[in-house]
Amino acid sequence: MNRRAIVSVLILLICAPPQPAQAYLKFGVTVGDQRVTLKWKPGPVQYFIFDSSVPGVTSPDLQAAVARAFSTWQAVPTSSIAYQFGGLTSAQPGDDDGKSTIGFENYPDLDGVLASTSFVVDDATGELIESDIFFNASYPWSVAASGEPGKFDLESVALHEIGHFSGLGHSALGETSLSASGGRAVIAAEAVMFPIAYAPGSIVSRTLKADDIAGISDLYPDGDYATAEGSLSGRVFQNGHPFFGAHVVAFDLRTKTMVGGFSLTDQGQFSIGGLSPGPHVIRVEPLDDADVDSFFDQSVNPVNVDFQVTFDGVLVVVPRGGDSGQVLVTVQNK
Amino acid sequence: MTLEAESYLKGALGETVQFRVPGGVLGRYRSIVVGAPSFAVDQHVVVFLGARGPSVPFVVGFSQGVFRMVRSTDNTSWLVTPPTDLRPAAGTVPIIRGDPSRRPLTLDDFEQRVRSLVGSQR
Repeated sequence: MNRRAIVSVLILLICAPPQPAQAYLKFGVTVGDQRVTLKWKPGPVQYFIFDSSVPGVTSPDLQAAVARAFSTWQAVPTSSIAYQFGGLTSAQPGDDDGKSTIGFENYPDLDGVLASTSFVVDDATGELIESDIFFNASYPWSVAASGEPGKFDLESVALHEIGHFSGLGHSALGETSLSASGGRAVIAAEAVMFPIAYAPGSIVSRTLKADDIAGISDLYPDGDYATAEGSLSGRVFQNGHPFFGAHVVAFDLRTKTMVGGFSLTDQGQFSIGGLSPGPHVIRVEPLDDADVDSFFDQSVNPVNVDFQVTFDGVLVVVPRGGDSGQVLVTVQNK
Repeated sequence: MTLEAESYLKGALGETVQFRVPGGVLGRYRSIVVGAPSFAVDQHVVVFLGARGPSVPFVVGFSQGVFRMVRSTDNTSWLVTPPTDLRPAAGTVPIIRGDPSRRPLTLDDFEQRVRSLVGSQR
């Protein structure tokens, strides 16, 4: 059945809270009393391209740009996920046909939504059946190798959406500015999975960052991921009480890279995996600049954003193949 | 989705208002749309809705059109969270997380700012 038909009939709401688990935000569903992470079964994940085009981007252009983005994720050496092009199709993204489909669709009503990823899940088993991606044809798109002024880079946005397609939620590793016209612009982002896109013309987000690599490796570990990397865990407190939803950043002093996580329980627990062994600085900050709903299901877990950015005063050494041990961080009140 | 409407910033659709939110459940199959908002019974929210012609409204920009409210610590007013971005008069300003000056707005202040922004764009 077409998903739009479902939406028009049902007033039930989706429930896609990222799963409280080992770092990173992942999608999950509840099956019985178990929480099941949304991820693909082993083996190449097949996808189809909706035979569609927009001004400046032909259907073959679309296919090629999406293929490059899939290849970028597949090339992560510590992740086992693989993808396979299944062919062109006349079926649209959003058609619930058991096939994962990617293409352009025109949604002028979706202000501020460049693209979107959806899933169909078997509620009885938690099995991921399909995932579709649409790029909003009401925006200008480009596949130019060096980018194109005034147009969004299709490969960059595809890379972000394929992160979702693979099961990753958003990363908060980015900073933005606000203009007098009300527009938000990305100053810098240390994750392709940051929810706000760079300005039109930019191709910066064609490259995965340490945070993205740690996330996909955590979902689909391969190679020497478990033995070569380490993790950092602990709890976050305010006024003596642990809390949910603090953004915790581990900054690697040697590689100058950062990986983010969140306190994901009422006990303030966080755990960030996929870290290079060595000394790290920990920063804890609120999500008060963000569309919090794009990170957490706020109807279930309200997020505490009422505190200041806090640096832990101690360097934490991440061991190879092990965990730092419990790091306790108390944030400063505003 | 059906909400009990306490007040409207613009228009009036009655004591309850229905709008579409992507996703849902049909039989054993669940459709999940990344970025679509979710709601809980008794939760207080400000929603910005759009519509085309005589149709069921939709929430604007997925979760970007939803602002959640909490009671102030003295329980005297509703606060809109997280702190709403206040655009500068000119140029651009970086948004600094955890800035002590960034505070949730009261619902009345939020409404005034929305009306001011809408007015300035006419």
